[in-house]
Amino acid sequence: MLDMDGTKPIYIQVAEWLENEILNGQFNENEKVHSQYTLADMFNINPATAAKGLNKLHDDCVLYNKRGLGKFVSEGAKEIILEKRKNETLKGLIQDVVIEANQLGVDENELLLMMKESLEAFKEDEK
Amino acid sequence: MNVVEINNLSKVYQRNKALDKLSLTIKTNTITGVIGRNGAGKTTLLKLIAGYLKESTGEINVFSKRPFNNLIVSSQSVFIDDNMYFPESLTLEELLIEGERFYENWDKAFAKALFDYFSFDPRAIHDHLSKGRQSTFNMIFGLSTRAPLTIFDEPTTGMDVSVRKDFYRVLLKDYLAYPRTILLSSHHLDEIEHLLENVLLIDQGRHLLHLPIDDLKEYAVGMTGEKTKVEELIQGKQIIYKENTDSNMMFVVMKRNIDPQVLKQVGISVKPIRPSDLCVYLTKDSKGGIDDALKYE
Amino acid sequence: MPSNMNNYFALVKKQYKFKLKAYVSVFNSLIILQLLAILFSFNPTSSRGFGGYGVDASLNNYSANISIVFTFLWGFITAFIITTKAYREDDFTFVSNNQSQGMANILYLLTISFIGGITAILSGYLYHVMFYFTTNTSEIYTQTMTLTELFIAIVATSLFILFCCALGYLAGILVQLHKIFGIILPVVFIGLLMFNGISGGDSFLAKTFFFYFQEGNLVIFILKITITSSLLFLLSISLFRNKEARV
Repeated sequence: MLDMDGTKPIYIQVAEWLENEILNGQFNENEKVHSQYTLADMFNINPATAAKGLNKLHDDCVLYNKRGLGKFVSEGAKEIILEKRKNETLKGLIQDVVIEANQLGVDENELLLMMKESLEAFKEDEK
Repeated sequence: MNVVEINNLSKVYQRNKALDKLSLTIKTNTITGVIGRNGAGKTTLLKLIAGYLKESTGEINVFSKRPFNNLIVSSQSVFIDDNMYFPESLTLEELLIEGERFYENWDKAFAKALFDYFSFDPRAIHDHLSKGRQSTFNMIFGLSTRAPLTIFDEPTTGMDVSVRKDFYRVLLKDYLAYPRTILLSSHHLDEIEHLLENVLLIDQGRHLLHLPIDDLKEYAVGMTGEKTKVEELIQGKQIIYKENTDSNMMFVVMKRNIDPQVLKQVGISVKPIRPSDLCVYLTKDSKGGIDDALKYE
Repeated sequence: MPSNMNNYFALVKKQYKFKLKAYVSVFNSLIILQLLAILFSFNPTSSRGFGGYGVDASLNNYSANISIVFTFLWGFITAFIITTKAYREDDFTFVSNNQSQGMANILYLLTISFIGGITAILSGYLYHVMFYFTTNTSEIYTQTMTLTELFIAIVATSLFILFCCALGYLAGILVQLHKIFGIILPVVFIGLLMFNGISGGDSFLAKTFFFYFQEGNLVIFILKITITSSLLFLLSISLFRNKEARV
């Protein structure tokens, strides 16, 4: 469920949870997602926090509003989510790696080599 | 719409200033956590809102009326704390019947369900209950009133952890089903932060912060790093808290307005600050912590 | 604002009913006091003896008035007690303000005054019956009352109790406003009693006593008592209008 003690804002966690549900196919395109009250009850959180999570997805165009009916999954929501995660999460992680490498005195070639090794190891596992 | 509007409100008890020119508003149908150290003025503020106490100076309006001695405010609000007065001659069951007579929104079935869930004896006397059981009964009473303005002042005193959890769950569920304005004071922000929409932090009779809980989570960052580097970074900036963790390391808390990537590059580690810790840092005396008060060799 | 007035009276009624239920111990103390009074009354208030020619006779006067005096005291004490914090704060747990609380208290004291009055007078009859069964006196002569006289006796006694309640309530309110009255009031009262002893029945206290207790005309008596009690209650409520709760 949600990580209450963590320092990540709960509304971000709610948004991420919904994104995962969409990626997993729990909610399909043009399907209605949970209301803020259902989410509040599910996660034992204030409905305003849940609404904030929903609004974030609305701002990111993952959800759209039907007046009086609630929020629905946009067409192409999965692609939007994946693109967003690529841009935000992955880029951030890579930036961290670059900084760490810099502090450890790892040069560009060495870093790229490490990345390649890691990728190959992953491909091996896949098989 | 605002249920509570307070402007420049002060309350003085025999030369002792409990509230000092406080201004704030509470929006309708929100849950607000009132946070502060003991003696910060939380209880005084809540009793002024409930109409129990009379303001010394300034203005206070609840449901657009001056609350002191006001029957409309009294009938539309309920004040629950661990020090409630109930007549000794009435049983718990009779107290619930009286509650139903006085509060127009009283939910009898809800009261009965909770009463049974917490296995209260209908013939028991409130004064003879343990502190924790009294708090539990008071909580049932307060929620059952469904009062448009429900005030809980440290409602969980003496309650077991499991009862506290139940209480917070019931509070949220009942709020979802019957939205109302709830003020909840506590010094355990950790326990209640998930319930809250807004946080009001009070210190020494003044309000320090009043903002949505989600904003409070992102309000400040803590930074640890080499003393010289940290000092260079915070120069000219307002900091919330500063501590030397050892001879050449320093920990500071400040508002989140620095790009964390920049900090990482100079070797300063950054961590978010939990709301409850932030409240402690914000209300700390400038004298320093407990370590400074006691000098061990 | 007629609807507000209706709400107000509805609330006062609720508070009044609440008090009837919550303050049951007040009636327990009434019963105990009146029974105690009857026990005390078994000592004759006056006694004369005759003797001679081999016959001994004694004429004893007994009176149940002590029960009435006890009931006055009970009214005063009850009114005093319901101004104390424990009683006052109960109201604010539910719905109340200072005025509605005062009104409900007055209604409550009015009720107990009449219950006290009725039981005090009727305890006189109980006393006769008990006296008959527990003593071996050969002849008992009692002053019998007509129904009208009985009614008047009850009304008059009840009004006196109400008067005592009004005094007790004001005393209670004053002490609640400032503890210093807990010293001032007894000192003033004892002072007045002593002054009365010195001046030989011509003091303020004696005059006040006669003004109320020696009134022959029933209608004027009722007016005197009700107006005075109302004024005392009004004063109490207005003194308490800025009293804070849960301090």
